[in-house]
Amino acid sequence: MKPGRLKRWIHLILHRLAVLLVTAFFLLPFFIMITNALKPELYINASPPVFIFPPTFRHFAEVFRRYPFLSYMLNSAVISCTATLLGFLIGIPAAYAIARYALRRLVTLILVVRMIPYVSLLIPWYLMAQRAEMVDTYAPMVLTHLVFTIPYAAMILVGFFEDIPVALEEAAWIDGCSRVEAFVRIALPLTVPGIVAAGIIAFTYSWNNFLFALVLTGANTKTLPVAVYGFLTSDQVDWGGLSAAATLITAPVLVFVFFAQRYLIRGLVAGAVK
Amino acid sequence: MSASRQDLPAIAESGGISRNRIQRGRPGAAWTAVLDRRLHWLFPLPTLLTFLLILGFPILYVLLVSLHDWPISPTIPAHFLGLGNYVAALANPRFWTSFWITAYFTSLAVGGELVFGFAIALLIQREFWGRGLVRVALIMPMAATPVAMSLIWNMMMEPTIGMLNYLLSLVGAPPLLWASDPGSVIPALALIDAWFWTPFMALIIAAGLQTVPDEILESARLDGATPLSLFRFITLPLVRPHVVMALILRVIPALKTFDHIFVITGGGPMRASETLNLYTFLEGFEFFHMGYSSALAVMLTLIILVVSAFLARLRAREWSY
Repeated sequence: MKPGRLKRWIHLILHRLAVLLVTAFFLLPFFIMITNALKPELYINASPPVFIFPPTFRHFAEVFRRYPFLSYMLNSAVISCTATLLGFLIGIPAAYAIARYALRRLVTLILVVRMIPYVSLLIPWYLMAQRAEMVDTYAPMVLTHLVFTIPYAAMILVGFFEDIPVALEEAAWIDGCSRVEAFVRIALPLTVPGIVAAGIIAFTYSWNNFLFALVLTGANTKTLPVAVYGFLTSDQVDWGGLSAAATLITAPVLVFVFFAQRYLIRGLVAGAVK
Repeated sequence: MSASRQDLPAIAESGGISRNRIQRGRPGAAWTAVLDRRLHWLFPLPTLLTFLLILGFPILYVLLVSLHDWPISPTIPAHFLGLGNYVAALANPRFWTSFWITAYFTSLAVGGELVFGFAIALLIQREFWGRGLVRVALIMPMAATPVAMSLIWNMMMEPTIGMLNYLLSLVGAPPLLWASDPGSVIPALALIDAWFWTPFMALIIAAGLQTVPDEILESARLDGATPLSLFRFITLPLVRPHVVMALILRVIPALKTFDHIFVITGGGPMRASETLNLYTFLEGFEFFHMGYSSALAVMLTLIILVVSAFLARLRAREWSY
């Protein structure tokens, strides 16, 4: 073999090895989560860890038997869905206005909103909810989640609206449509893929939110992240149950995001490249 | 922007006939015409009103609370302190310790993510079998619920039965205490942060690498440039704006990190991981020092706004061409 070819082979092998290591690093926690959720109690604390075991679904069953896990799921779903829908109802027209009228100050405002540390809003939110006797109800949770669902809607969708040629709307105006009608009948339908993708990102962020729920929810409105955190603070940590609960929380967003992966980075970067 | 504010009225004027037609043709058409002319502030209005309710008013409130000894119970009257809470915080060594812990965590986490992310971007730049799968693996940590994954990391970092020490033992390395030791807790948390956010850096930088034209690299190679000088003199300057942007987008969230620090250490051991964010939260919702915590919150917000303004200028310079 010529030395040049040998060098190429070594390069190739090293590259694949590095890729494998990187992938393993990012998948390792998911692997541990799923295997521990399926491991019988006996195997979980084994040292060195055991990788071959008879799988069991007992931990999943236990999670539902010992905790009102279904109602936690319902709380999370209700809050995230409402906050996303409401945020988009409010944010989509703003996105359209930014795209069509170049509202720079609004863009700056939204960027500042994304910068503010949420911990500084928690005290007033909590005190306001307390005054309004709304601690442990859905309303403050939904309202506070708007602080990120509106910016996600606005910032991600500006790009999508800008991609629609104004000529399409102009044609509609000439045919007698009002601006609002042209927006609803022409611009909006063309942005549906963008709205779905941005919606998935906003929903995921809301579903994953821990900080607000820690302060603003109580026994009746506890969401999944707060509930699973409770697994740790109880006297004896139930690793199997914890892993099963973690799997149940993470699975839906992972499935969702799989379908929106093309837009995820665009969403996270939105507004920065202008 | 495809349609600027200037050319829209022109379009509306040219379509003046149509507006007349609407006004004559349909009831309520005058209404829509009024609506149309005010669209540029009517459409953002719901957003502005919501921000006023959930941001504007709370910000005024937190400023007010920060000037008082504010009890958690609404029945007890607040006691005005002026700038007392701010003075107390600035005189408190705990504040300054938190400040430096925040700086240490942020630079370690973001620095690590940048280096590691750049390396990954270079790795996934070329075409290979399974590249799509690698991208999916990179996306997963960004979407997974932080609290759930933090609990798993906590399990992995457990000193006696954790997976990480087992992996270390496989390569013959001594076991580490990870987040249980004041000396190693910040690097351990930065490692977890890197797990969550390195893919973000990597994917942004990878997008930047795609903009480097192959012809330039090819002609430089023909001129005898070594791979290292190609990287140093061509790739690096061309992706610099992307690198700066990735950096900017990570610094602010890193300063505000809450979930994995709170879940894994709660600020411990011995407050060694108590960042400003954690400190503010604990003062408010663990000890119910609402006034003092509000003063901390205001100062944290100011710090973040100053850093943001600085980063925004940096970004403007990088993306000006």
